[in-house]
Amino acid sequence: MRCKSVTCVLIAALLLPFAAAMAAEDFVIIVNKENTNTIDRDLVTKIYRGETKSWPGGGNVVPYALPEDNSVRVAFDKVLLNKSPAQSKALWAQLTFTGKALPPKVADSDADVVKAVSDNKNAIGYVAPHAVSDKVKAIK
Amino acid sequence: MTKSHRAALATAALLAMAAGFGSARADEDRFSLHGFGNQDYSKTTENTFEQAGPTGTWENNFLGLVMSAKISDQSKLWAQFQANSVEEARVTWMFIDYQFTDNLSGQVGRVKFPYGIYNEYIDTRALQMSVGKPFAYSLEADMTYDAYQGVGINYVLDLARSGRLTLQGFGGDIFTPASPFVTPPFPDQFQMGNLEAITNDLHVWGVKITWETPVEGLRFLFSANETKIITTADNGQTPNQPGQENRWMLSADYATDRLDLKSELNRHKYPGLSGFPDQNSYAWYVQAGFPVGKWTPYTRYDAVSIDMSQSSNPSYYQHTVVLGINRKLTPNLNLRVEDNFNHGYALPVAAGETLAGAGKSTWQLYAAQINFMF
Repeated sequence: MRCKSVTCVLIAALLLPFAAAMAAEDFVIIVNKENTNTIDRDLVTKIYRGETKSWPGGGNVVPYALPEDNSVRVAFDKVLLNKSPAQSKALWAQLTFTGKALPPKVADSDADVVKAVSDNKNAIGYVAPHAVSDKVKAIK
Repeated sequence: MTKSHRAALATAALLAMAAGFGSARADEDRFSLHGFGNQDYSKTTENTFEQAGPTGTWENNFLGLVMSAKISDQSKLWAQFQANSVEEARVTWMFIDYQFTDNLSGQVGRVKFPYGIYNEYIDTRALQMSVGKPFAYSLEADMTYDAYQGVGINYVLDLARSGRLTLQGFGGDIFTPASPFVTPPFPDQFQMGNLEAITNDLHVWGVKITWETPVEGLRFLFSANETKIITTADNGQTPNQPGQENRWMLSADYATDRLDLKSELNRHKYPGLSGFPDQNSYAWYVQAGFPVGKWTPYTRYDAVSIDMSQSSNPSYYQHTVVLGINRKLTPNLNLRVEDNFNHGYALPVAAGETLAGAGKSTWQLYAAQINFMF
């Protein structure tokens, strides 16, 4: 029993820095204001894993991502996909080079994501909380 | 390798460094272009094969371009073009896919052969762990194919808390480009008694089942297929003989930030000719990589038996321990070096460049590779 407790403490110690560093509050998921679909965390996860390509109400999903070294991207990939940016890139490379799906478009900044999503009714993206504007709809 | 080939690789590598995979901002809904490549250098201490130079060295490279073009909201054309140092440039695969629903899709054309883990990214070395591929995927072992030409269908079953199941079924003709390396007796021509049999692959059908478990990064796969073949003996007397060639593979894959663990077992059966018994072969490996920052040391134990009826003959088996390390130079550019400690020399024999009984049982193969994707 004692041995198991020690193992638990060790595992917790290893995982704690990651758990503390990444949280859902570090990003906000945004869609176009005209998007009337019911969007939950499960759907967003499937979109960014390449498992869902169309909106429930019709139309192809156009996902946007931030660059790999962006802290919002790191948080999003960890919290929603349970992957590092390098792992999510490898996943998309695998899907692309097998002819299964194309990766999310990469925007340079939060502002670029907000603009792209406000311009395209099928777009979805994620940004830092302070970057959300009234041009897009934030997903709770 | 020609100067123009080197220039193309160098240009592609620069593109990889400048842009990198996932950086495209063009309207990828309509048209997309991605690519990958590698430059290898290898040296063997004994048992030269795959047309190695006189000192047992190779210098191989590969450049692949993958493009997609939108046909409709549900459909895309996908193609991969390849050029390498030992073959003519060609289309690796080209197909039209159709997404009936999020769960159901189909492909028609020349499609990547659905078999095991490595066939998912067989050409993209940047997505692989080591310089060399496991024996189950080597050209000489002849245990899988590049592509089939026909129809495939995929169905995804959401198992909720139990994960996700992907069922693939396909049928068509085998696409077999002329092999740049393999000469008789294996794989398409092999010895049975005093007969040299030539097999012609015809139709194939198969399945692949992938279970993505609820444990993040852990999946299990089962692949199986059957090829109708015609075997012809070269003595001019034995009649052509139809038969079935069977393969199956079990795969386990676990990938996290800190560990990349893979293991596969492959079995393969050729039909016997004119009363000779079936010829069975197997390959299995277990491989682990341990990413630490930009470094990933890795190791693999790999074993193959080209003819299981001669499993104690080093001409027909090969066991290898691979030790290597990968250094990520940029997010899209890798440099790796490795040493392969071999016992047995089945692949050089299967390649037809070392005679059975004439090779060295213990030998090493050193390899280095630079690879990229964009």
